Order: sequence, then structure tokens, then C-alpha cells
Amino acid sequence: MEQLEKRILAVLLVVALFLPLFVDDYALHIVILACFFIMMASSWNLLAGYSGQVSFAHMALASSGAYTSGLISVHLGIHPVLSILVGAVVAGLVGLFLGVLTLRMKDSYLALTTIAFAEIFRLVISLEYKVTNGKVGLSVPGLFGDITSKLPYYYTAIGLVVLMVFFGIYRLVYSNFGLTVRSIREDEIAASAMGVKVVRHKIIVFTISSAMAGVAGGFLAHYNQLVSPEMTTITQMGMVISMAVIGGLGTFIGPIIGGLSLEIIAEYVKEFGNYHLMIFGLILILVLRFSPQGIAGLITKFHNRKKKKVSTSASTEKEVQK
Amino acid sequence: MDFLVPLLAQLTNGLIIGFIYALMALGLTLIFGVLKVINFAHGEFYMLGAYISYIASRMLGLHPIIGIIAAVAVVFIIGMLMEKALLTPIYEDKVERKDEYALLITFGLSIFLMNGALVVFGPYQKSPEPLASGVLDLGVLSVSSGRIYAVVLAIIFMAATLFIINKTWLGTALRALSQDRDASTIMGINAKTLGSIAFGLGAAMAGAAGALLAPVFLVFPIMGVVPAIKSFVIIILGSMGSIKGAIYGSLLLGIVESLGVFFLSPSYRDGYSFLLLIIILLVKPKGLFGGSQWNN
Amino acid sequence: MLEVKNVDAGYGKINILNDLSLKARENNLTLLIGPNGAGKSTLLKAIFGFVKTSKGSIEYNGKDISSLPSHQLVDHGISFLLQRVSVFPELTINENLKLGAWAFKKDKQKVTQQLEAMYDKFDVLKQKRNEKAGLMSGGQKRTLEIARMLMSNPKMLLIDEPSAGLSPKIAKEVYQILHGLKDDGITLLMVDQNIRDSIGYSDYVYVLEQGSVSSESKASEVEANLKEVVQSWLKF
Repeated sequence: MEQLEKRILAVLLVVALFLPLFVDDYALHIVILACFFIMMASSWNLLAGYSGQVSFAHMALASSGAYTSGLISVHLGIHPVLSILVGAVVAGLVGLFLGVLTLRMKDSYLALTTIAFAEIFRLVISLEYKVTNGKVGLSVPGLFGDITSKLPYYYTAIGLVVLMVFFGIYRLVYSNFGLTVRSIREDEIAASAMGVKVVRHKIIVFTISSAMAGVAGGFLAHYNQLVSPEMTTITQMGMVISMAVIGGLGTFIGPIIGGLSLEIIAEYVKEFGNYHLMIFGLILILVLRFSPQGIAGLITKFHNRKKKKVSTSASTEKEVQK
Repeated sequence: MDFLVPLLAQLTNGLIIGFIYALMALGLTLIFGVLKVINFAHGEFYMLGAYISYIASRMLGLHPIIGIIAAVAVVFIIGMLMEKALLTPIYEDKVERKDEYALLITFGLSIFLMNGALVVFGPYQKSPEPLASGVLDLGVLSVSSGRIYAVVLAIIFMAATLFIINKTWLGTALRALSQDRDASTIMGINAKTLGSIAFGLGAAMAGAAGALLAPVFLVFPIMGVVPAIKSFVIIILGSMGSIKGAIYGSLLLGIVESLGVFFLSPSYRDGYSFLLLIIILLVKPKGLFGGSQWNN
Repeated sequence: MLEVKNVDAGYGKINILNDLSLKARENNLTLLIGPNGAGKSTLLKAIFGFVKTSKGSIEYNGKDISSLPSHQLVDHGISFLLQRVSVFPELTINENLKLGAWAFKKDKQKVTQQLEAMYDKFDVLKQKRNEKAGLMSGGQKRTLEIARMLMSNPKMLLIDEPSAGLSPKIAKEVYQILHGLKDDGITLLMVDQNIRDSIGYSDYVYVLEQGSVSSESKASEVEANLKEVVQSWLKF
């Protein structure tokens, strides 16, 4: 990762740590939601941006983790911390199943199957109201019991982002395994010619990213104390994809910036009506068409240009001194 | 034997719906065949078709048939323009990962159109003027005449498309393009323009399906999601790019759904397609109709 | 007829052709030879617009065609025979041939006339006119490709390795057909690895090395010292 990216992330983290001193609960609520979306967008980016597999089931997988965690914490009385982990395992297993089913085939099969899975999953949880309480949603215990303060949730959300994204995804992407995965995205045929087990690597990445979605979904469920089918709609999936792509697909910092900024924009636009998703859809199209590296790409470009300017002005100064 | 009549009624319904799925899936196949792109905004062209027929028949007071024709024409033009604006970079080698780009940009288009419709028309369900009211009595079973009209029109649209594809210069060129893009260019065929036309035609077929089903299933912004997913399942079922496969796959899905409704549970009607998809992926992942060529 | 002037072309940032200039003289068969990677095929693709040129011009009858889109070249009378098999396998032979007349598809009479002319010329195509082209043998496919190309009444043909993958006997037939086209006033520019067989049908020869012309001469002169020419490539 570039120095610039590291600096931006460090600043964001410091701001995040001291933010509760200056803002109200509503602002914290938005940041908590943003953290959920950062986890979703980053783990989706791990899949799409680094390994080149476009899945539309990421929200559905998060939702599978959320429902699993919600249901077992309600019925078995298990503490949410444990149930979230179980939810993550279930989400990972569902991802594994979808991966085994489709990843032998061409890329488009994964996209087609996952979009079908997401809708059917939503259908099932909406219809099985005896278990899931249908469209109304399932009430689940809070992660910190009945505490009304946002603070513990806030720091947990930040902690999860640091753990999952800053450590987990970062390490994974820049490990040998990550290098192999990225080589598959660049040139699948060349990678398999070099002896890389392409399908197996794809399935592993898909499973990991599904489990990550499960954690994020579980956390959101026990923060909202409610799980509903709303989370699984195509539109919500569109939100995650917009965040990752507008932020910068295949860049580390992109989904973080995308998740944070789009969630904040969405909250403020919502006051005027449901325009935000139309706008995000439009920006998503424009970014893909004209600036595929997204915001992260623009930052790098701007930074490089500035650096160039500084270095040229420095060299002219030297000339003058001579 | 008492269950036979309702079963027959269900099967008839399944076949009727199957023909309309076929119209939509054929459009998706046409686009995939020529452009090698899966149009994830297909459901939104269906939705646009439905809204246009609603506007024409309810707001402008035109005859429902004119509404449907208007839907086909307008969606054709929108589809062509969208292809020109969004997909041409793929063929100019300006995009690195073409499949990924096509997937994401058509998905982005879908999100934009869906939420655009929400902003413009609101979330409420609207109902265009039906083609006909009343029921048609076929002896043992009766079918709503609106549905009969819809299926007849769907078959006419499909026949027209198949005629274009198989018997005209345009169709021959489209088939050639689907088989070998460079060789088509050597013939002097303008692959870019024909690609736009193919996308427009495919979108228009989804628009037609939307306009035909609008009086039956009502009109609302996210109405296209489920039909689109069904056509995705159908093209996997019928082997991607196969025209025959798309038609038979649609009828098969219509029948499977009606059997599922009859024997299992009616509320899961929209879920059986996924079950079918899983079975196909496990047993015969390349679909029921073999190769990916355009066997017509 | 066709003149390539100081052309640079390549894929992305990699230049394959470097300041390449040559001429295809009217009613001649001009042969391009040279070692692998010399840029022979790339040159044909650059002329036809499949590869973009970054410098220089390609003049056809005095008009620069280097910025025209590929599909318009057919209207100007230029046709291209690709090295690989390029029949439309799922179309019938008749449909394949008809597409060759795409440029004047509105003139029904002319299309029929051309079809009949091709069927008269190539009997094997006539017999199989309603079969799918994918089912034919390699030699028959090549024949169909040539016939399809001739449907548009071209004045200039770009030909890439016409005998690739064919048996010597059929390759000879293909060369004879191509050579015979000169009688119809057609100019040919042909790339061929198979110099021994093709040189006899050629009028003029360019040797390409590393993206530019290293020597040019009349075919008869090259034919006389073929051995030396071929040996000189082995030094690379």
C-alpha cells in the first residue's frame, strides 16, 4: 500500500477515535452504519476487485449470518458474540456451496446464480414468517444487552473494521495467497498454466468473503436489534457495489472511502426523498465508464501530479541557485 | 379425478406465463449471443415497457394495443442508446476486464433505472388498461381473456423476432456476428451498429413482455427483478446463447412453476426457478441444449 | 494501387511495425515474407484497420484509408482473407456467400448474379449450398472463404497465409485460384511462410525484418537465390 493511503487511513482512524467527544448519537449512528458498509464493500472488493468474481449475493450472505445469529441467540439464549461467529460460519458455508456450484463455470454463472440466490433467499425469509417473523423483521437481543448508549457499539464497529479490513483483508491481499488470487484476476489462463489451482483459490476467497459478510450482518443485526428481509434487496446490494466501485474497485482504500462517504451522503439526501440510490446508480455508471479506479484513482492521480509539480518547482529552484 | 381440472388449469396458466418468459428470455439470449454480454438491466427494460404502456393507456388514453407497440418502440430506442453509451468501450479495447465491466455497468444501469422509476412514479402499484376483460370459457377450464390476448401477442412478437433472425439480411448478419465478429467486419458489416440494434431488440422484447404482463401483475419500480432473475435461470437452463434453449427453457420453467404451485405451495411460485437452477448446475451445468452457438 | 508510407503500428505501447513503407502494384501479386514476428500479419491487420496505426499513412488509389473503420474498406473494394478459419460455422454455405455481398445487399439482382457466378466457379460449394459451413473440410472452408470474399467484387485482396493447415495438393489449388484472380484485374498482397510454394505465383517480393522492409525485389530474382534468403533469416 502506498504511503499516501496509509496516511489517509491513519488520519481517519484518529478522527474516528475522538469523534464521540464532539458529535451527537445520530452522527455516531451514521458512522456505525458506515462501518457496516465499509466491511461489506471491502469484503466484496476482496472478491470482485482482487479476484475478479462478481457476486450479487453479498447482502444475502450477510443476511444469512444475521438471521442465523439472531435466531440462535433468541432461541438458544447464546450471547450475541458467539452467535455472530456461528452466523459467520453459516454464511461462509452458504458461500462455499454457491462457490462449488458455480465457480467451475465461466464468471457470469456466479453473477447469475448469486443474483437468483439473493432474491430467493429474500423470498424465503419473507414467507417463513413463523420462523423469521416475515417482513416485519425478527427482534434480536442487543450486543450489549439493553444499553441505550451508542458508544460501545461505536467502538465495536470501529474495532471490527480495523480487525477485518485493516488487518484481515490487507494481510490477505498482500500475502502470497493474495498475490496468486490477483494473478488469477489478471490472467486466469496464464495462472492455471503456471499450476495455480484456479477454482480452488476462487472458492476459498468466496468463502472467506462470505464469512466476513456474515460477521458484518450479525453485528448490524445485534446493533439494530432487528433483522428484516429489507437488508437483502437488490437495491441494498447496489448500495454496496456502488460504494466499492465509486470508492475504487481493486484498491485497498477505495471501499473504505466509498463506504464512509456514500453512507453519509445517503443519510443527508434521505431527508429530501429517496434520491440517493438513483444518484449512486448514475455515479456508478459514470465511474465505470470514465474513471474505473474511482475516488482512490483520482486521489492517486491528483497526488502524483502535485508531487510532480513540487519536484519540478524544486528543480527549477536549484537551477536558479546555480 | 377431481384434481385433474385444477391441475389442467394450472398447467395452462404455466404455459401462458412460459410464453411470456420466453419473450423476455429470447431478448436476453439475443443480447448475449451477439454481444456476449449478460444484460443485468433486463428486468428494468421490462419495467420501462410496463410503465410506457401504462402512460399510453391511462394517461394519454390510447388503445392498450397502441400502448404495447409504443412500449416496444420506445424501449428499443432506449436500449440502443444505452448500448451505444455504455457498452461500446468493450469493443474499442478500452476496458481491461470486459466481462466484469459489462456485468457491473448493466447492474449499475439496473439500479439507476429502478430507483429512477421510484423517484418519478413513486412506489405505488399502478394498473394499465387491460387488453380485454372477462374470461374465456374453454369447456372444462376458463382462462381470463386478458391473458389469452397477452400470450397471443407474445407469440406474434416471438414469431416476428424469429423471422427477422432467420430470414432477413439483418438476422443473418446478427447470427454471423454472434459466431465471428472479425469475420463479420470483413464482410463489411458494421459490428458496432448491429450490436446496438441487437441490444435494442433484446431490450424491446423485455419491454414487450412487461407491457403484456402489466395489467396482470401491476406496475411498480421493482417489478422487473423477479422476471429478470427467471430469464437468467432460463438462459442457463437452455444453454447460454441458444434460441431454441431459451424458448423451451421458458416453457419448462412455466410448467415447473405451475406444478410446484399445485403440488407444493403457491406462495413459493417464484422460488421454484432457483431450485431448478441448482439442479441444472449440479447435473448439467452447460444447460439442456448443449453448445453455446446460435442453433436456431 | 496501395501504398504504405512510414507506418508505425502495434498493440498498446508495443510497436510491431517501425517506419514501414511498401507498395502493392496494380494487378500484381505482392508477396510478404520474413521470419516469425517480423510483422507480416500485423501489417495486413493495420491496412485493414484491425490494428491502429500511430504514424504514417496507408494510401489506396491516392486516398489515405488508415483512419477508416474496417467495415467501410469493403465498400472501397478491399477484402481480407484471414489466416484462421473464418467461415460462419452455423450458417449455411449459401448464407455465408450472401454475407459476402453485404455491401450491395439491396441490389437483389446483383446478389443472385454473384451467387450464381460463384457456384459456377466452385462446384463443391454448389453441391453443399444448404449445408452448414462448419461441417466442411479444411480445404472446402478455404474455398468458401475465397468465394465469399469475391462476392463483393473486390479490387484488392489482403491474404494471410492461405495454405496454413492445408495439404500440399489443396494448397496448390488455392494458390492457383488466387493467382488466377489477377486475370480479373485484382491486386493481391499476400503474407506467406511457405515461400517455396508461393514464390512461383508472385510478381514482387518484400522481405520484412523486425517491423520494416529489409529488402525488396522481383519475385524471379528471389526465386533464383531462394536458399540464401531463407538462410539469412536463420541468423536472427
